[in-house]
Amino acid sequence: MNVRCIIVDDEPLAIEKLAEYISRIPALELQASFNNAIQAMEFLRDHSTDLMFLDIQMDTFTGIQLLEIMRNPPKVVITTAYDSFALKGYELDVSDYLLKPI
Amino acid sequence: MNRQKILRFLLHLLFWVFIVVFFTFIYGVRDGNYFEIFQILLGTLPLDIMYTYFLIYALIPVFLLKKRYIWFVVLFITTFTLMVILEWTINYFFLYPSIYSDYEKWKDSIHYFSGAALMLYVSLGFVILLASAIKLVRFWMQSQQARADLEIQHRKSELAMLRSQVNPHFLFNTLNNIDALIWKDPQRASETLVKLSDMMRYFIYEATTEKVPLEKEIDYLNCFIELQRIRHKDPDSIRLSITGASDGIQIAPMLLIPFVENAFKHGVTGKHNPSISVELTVNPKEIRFDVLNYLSTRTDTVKDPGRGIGLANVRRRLSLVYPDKHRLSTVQAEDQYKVTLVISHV
Repeated sequence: MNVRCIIVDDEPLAIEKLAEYISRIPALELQASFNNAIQAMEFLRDHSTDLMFLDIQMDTFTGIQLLEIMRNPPKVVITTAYDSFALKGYELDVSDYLLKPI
Repeated sequence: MNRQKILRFLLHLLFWVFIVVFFTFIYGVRDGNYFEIFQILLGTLPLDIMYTYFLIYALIPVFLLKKRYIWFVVLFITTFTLMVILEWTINYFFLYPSIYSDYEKWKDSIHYFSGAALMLYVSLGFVILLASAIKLVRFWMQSQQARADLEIQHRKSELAMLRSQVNPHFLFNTLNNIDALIWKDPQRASETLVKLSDMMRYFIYEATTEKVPLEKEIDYLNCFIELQRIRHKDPDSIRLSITGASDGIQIAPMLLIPFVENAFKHGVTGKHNPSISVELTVNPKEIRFDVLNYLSTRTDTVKDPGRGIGLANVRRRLSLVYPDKHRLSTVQAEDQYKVTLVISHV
């Protein structure tokens, strides 16, 4: 069974890059990608996913804020340029983090 | 070092030669007995020298300059009086009888406890006053110089520190974008990398001087905006306009960019067009810089290490570099945030 995943990042190129890596791993299936947290939340209201690649610094809602308000979050991998954000992520029970450039 | 020591010695020697010649003239002018006076002065000169150096190298630095004033006054008055008594005793009992040829004629008219001893107070007093004044003026000049040097050093290091705060978030995200472009559009990846290296060259090497040509700062601004456009999903809503002739104008480096960084940090793209607007207007008298962005409705921003000090830094730098030559205003109206900086460069 494949691991279903989504990407949340406000930079289009960052999404493309992650999508490219995901496509190389047969066990991963990319369901959708979003360039802000609100779109991701709307998607997750009607769909479920196993894994979320989440950027922290985004317009309107940050990745941290998204994590704080989600009731049943999937497994999360933080993607950020700052390692201190990555550490903050562990308080919110994330699975792992990727430091940019990825 | 050695030459300095010789010079110092010669200056001290000159001082004492001057003292002896001066007093020989002052005391000898009445009776014309210059040679006898000269011999008497030489007789007590070693004591004068010893006491003067004791005063300027021991009493003044240890008590006066350390602000132990009462101790200084007490010690100074006692040692000075003892010195005068000692010199008067030597003069009266040893030097006068052996040097003055007419000593026998006037020896009964001057008593040991007469006012003549007070004369030594005045002359020794003059010597030590002169020496102390030289010492104190030199000390004061040195401390002024040291303070000025320290101030300059402090400002230099402060400026270097303020300048060096380049946003690592921007750097790593741009590297991430370039990495993505390498797969997608190698040509554009290469162009972007060149822009980034131009920027790095500017802030590492070129922006280390006090002033740079305005064109350089504009190039940097252009590169920065260009790289931001690559990061954003609607690059066309980011506007940059530069008007006026910038040639020949100098500006303190890295002053403009923090406002633009701030606009990208707090600004929301996508809702308005332009969503971020940067305008630079150069005229013969002043540089006007306007940055406009729209704020998101979110209440708090993520704490971003190494940032948030950006604007405080710029204010500090502006007050250091352009103390009375700049105006900075920030206006927030509803969701609009506008910064205007005017620097007069004449």
